[in-house]
Amino acid sequence: MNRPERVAVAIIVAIAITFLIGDPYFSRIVAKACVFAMAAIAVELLISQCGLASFGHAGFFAAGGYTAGILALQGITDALLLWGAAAGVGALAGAILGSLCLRTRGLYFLMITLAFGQMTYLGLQGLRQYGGDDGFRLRHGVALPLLGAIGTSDMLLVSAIVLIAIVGLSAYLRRARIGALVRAARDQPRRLASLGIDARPYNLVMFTISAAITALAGALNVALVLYASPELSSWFLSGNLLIMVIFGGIGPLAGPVLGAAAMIGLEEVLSVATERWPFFLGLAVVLRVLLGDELKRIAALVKP
Amino acid sequence: MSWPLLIEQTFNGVQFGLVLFLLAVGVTLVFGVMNTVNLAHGSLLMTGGYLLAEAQSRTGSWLLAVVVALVGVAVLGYLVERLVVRRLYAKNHLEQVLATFGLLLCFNETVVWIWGREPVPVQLPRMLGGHVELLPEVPYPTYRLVVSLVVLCVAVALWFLIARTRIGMLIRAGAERRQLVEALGVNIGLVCAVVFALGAVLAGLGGVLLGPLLTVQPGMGDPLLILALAVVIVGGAGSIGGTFVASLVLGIADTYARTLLPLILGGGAGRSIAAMAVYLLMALTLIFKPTGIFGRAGGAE
Repeated sequence: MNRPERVAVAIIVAIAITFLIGDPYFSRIVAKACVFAMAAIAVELLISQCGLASFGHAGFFAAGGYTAGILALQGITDALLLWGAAAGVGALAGAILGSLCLRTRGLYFLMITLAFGQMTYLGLQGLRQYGGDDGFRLRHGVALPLLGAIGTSDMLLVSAIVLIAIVGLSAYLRRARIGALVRAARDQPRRLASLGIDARPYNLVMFTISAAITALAGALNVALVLYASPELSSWFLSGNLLIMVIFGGIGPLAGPVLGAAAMIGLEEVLSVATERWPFFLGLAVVLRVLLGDELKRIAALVKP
Repeated sequence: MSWPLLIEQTFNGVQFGLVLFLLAVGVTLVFGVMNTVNLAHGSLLMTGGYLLAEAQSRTGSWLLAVVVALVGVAVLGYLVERLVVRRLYAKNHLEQVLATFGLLLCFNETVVWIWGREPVPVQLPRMLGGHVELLPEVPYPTYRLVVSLVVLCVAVALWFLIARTRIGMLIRAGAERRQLVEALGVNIGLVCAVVFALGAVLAGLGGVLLGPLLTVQPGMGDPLLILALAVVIVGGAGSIGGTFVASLVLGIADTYARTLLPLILGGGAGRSIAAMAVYLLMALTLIFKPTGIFGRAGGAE
């Protein structure tokens, strides 16, 4: 599924079914999946277009969540303002950290983003006035101009709309000149350089956009659960985002959305059934990586 | 801020840096020779701590428990390399790292399964429990001093192993020109297994030494692993000398920042910035020398 319209239709159908079921618990899970799908799209965009795997995106997720949460504590309820501020902070952090991280590539990039993610985690833990280790709760949800307060049940609709917009953005960036440029820099850095094109600014723009999307997702997450803690920036969350991406598939537009939906769904189901959910998740990732090529070969054999 | 406190914190910083070196050197060796990052390296440290605690409670002997823990971690490291990590060398970086992340999740959960979520106690041997006077009026825990001395001895032995022995030569050659070494008839697979097991033993030793200082609990090695990654970045990946210097610098910086900054800047902000100090140093290194202080040119590729 590489066409944004089809992905959008699929999301709308899923949301419509969720509304028909009408179970508030289920609606929350679907809304959560939408929020994480946004962050997974942001991570996938960097991997599939720039060839850069970030292990620190949870840092941006938490930065967005804390920005929106702290502003909400000051009494601001306007969702556009809160989420705009979160995306802005995410973009700023992305531009600053990106200009550092993008001096490197490959494994180095991965280690550095991981380290900066951890830096965010430790920094947030030190914010005693906002609960330190424990984080803080919000008493009120957010409100939209004209429409008024958004309850947690309305968050499903809002997150789905934002998600569709982000799918569209991701599709646009892939087709745009910048997408072609960063892909060229990924595959043929020397040829691109010999054409006199410096790819770094384009990579930085992609990184900044990716960070802003992730921060926006973080802000929506806080509006959904009304709670923020340093755990939002835990490297386990960064790892989970990458796991969503790798299971969803790198390349197709729908990949990260499917990956996020599958993982959030499985987590909800399996963590009820077994306490050992992280063990089975870890095992699944190891097997997926070790047997990935074999699975492809088997799939090719089965195909007529 | 008094002199005795400053001296004590310097010793603490050196000791922390040295233990960090035990973990970081394994990461940097695996990075250099196998060109992959092992996120489950902290799990090996954790396993060392747990094996120590378990063996100690069963045998009652600290020394015996140390031997059991180190041998156990070496065997575990060898098995992990054979069963999983070996198959990752041909994969892309993302898959390599995610697979080791998956291993880490498995390890943490297995530890919870066996020993539960609560920290397990580790006893110090009685002869190491006291204090020594560094200077008159400056008492210092004997155990911390012993930890520093042990790591220093290990570092010298490691230097000898890498710089002066045949296997060390093969490790260095493998890091430089892997295929050429293979073409010369060297069993590079065995070299990789040895490197991984060596890294595992060093991480396990870290867990054994830290056991009585930290709490032995699930995931105890993971924050240290990320710190070790910062060390590797600052020192320059693949460089053991760089890793040693960077470990000491970051260990001391971290300890100083945690004591001094809250005093200077006040509790909240000081504590926040102190926790981030090491990573800010890493950012500075990246600005001025992206390949790390002792990194080779092209090391960042």
